[in-house]
Amino acid sequence: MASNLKLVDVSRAAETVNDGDTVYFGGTVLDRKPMELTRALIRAGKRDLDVVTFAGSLEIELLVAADSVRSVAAAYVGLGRFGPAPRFVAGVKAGVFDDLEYSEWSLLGRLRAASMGIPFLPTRAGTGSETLAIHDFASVADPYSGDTYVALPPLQPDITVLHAWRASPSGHVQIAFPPQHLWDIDVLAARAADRVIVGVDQIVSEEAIASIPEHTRLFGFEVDMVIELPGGSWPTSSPPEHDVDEGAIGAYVSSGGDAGTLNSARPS
Amino acid sequence: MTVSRGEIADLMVVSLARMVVAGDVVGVGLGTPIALVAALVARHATQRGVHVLAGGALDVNGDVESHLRDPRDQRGLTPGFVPHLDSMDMAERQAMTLQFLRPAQIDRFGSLNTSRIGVRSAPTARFGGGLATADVPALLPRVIAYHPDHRPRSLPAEVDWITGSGHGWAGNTRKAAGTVAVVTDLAVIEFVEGRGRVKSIHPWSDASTVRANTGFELSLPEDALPTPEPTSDELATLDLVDPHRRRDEEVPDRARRDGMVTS
Repeated sequence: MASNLKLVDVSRAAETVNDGDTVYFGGTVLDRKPMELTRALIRAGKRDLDVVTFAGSLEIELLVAADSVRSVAAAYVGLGRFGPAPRFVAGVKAGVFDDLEYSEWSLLGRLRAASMGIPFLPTRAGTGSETLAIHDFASVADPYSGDTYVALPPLQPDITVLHAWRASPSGHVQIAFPPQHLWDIDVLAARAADRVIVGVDQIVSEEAIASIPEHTRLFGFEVDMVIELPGGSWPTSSPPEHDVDEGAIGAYVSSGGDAGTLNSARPS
Repeated sequence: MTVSRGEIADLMVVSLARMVVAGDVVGVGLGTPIALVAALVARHATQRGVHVLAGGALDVNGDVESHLRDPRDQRGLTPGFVPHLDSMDMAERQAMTLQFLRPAQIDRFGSLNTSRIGVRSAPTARFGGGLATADVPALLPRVIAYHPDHRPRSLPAEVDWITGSGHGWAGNTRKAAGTVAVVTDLAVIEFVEGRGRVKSIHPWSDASTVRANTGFELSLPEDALPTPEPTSDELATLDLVDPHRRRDEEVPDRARRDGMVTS
């Protein structure tokens, strides 16, 4: 396969997602959310998505507002310092999707098991928690000590969608330094998934990638599609290109959750 | 007697910091200024005998204002950044020893609710979610909770939803004590075998106020000591690490009156 075939446009990428797919959305809280890819999924009319994210925010808001969601699996959904996520909270209260709350360890442990290709990952985390009980995980006895552990089964998303700094046409993905907090969860979610779509602020040459190889965090053979989406995480951050647009998020909160305030791409 | 947000925040922070011991490695979660400031005050008080892992940066040395905005601003003020999956492993193997957690509810077992009020399919309230609240009571040697609005619904007999079990975990190789204490805006309470025991009462409160605002029976000696006020050294450290008083943000914006009982 010619390596340039990794480079596609956003509508082509959205077409590869099927109704009912399990889709992991990268980024954490107000950083690196794949907002433009989320908008593309909504424009393509995707339905009944089983949405997974470690710490969700505005992408969950857009998906809930568009009625694209069958379930939300997350260890946190909110707008960080801007408070609760209004559409998500209203949707949970009305029961319009299944609220699959996760603990941090159980979600990341399941992704780790998928990323490692192992049948389950034992952990003490979450013992006695009703949040863990939602998922009905089995327990397992340590064959050496006899101690009982939670046995986390793999979670393999059909697709992981991310936003990152830059990538080459062959799909090598780079992040800015110093890395943002929680950046490594994006990489984990990509390596756990069946397919990976990455939107980036810049498509650059293979030579440009090789000039700073220490910034490379996903390799082309791990990535299915890359899309040039300048400002594609707006209004969440994308270092080094832009910080969180606090004005835009404040306006969204003030509007009481009017998705229309977030539906356009980043204002230039 | 009335008391300000600032006085409440200061006494809660130093009360938490005083429970940290040399050798502790304290993990700090997202959006919890009181926890961050308390861990840094403890680091100063122990002459750097305590390590603080917050926002992916170790031992931040500077104003928490910039750290809360973006931990990457700590370049030059931290020896290094820790990937999140590495910090998970540190917790699981107990290289991290303590975390401060801020639940919506905490009960007599020390169980923590950061999830919801009511049933999962149609709750009356849904909080943002627990992140590691479910996990760390079973992982770390100990967890200490704090709650800046001590009232019966915040400290009920049983939480509406057990995000994190207060009981911890014990096996051949490790022991996690679970939630060992909670610091509130009225008192410091320790948990011993499913029972809360008042360790100290803040100067602006008293035994009957604490009892009336708690939804479970407390072991409360009538001669319980007052919580010691912040020392001059502690106040100087507070000014150093949190000059913009981000710690006040977690305290409800109202003065609390002596004897007040709220639902």
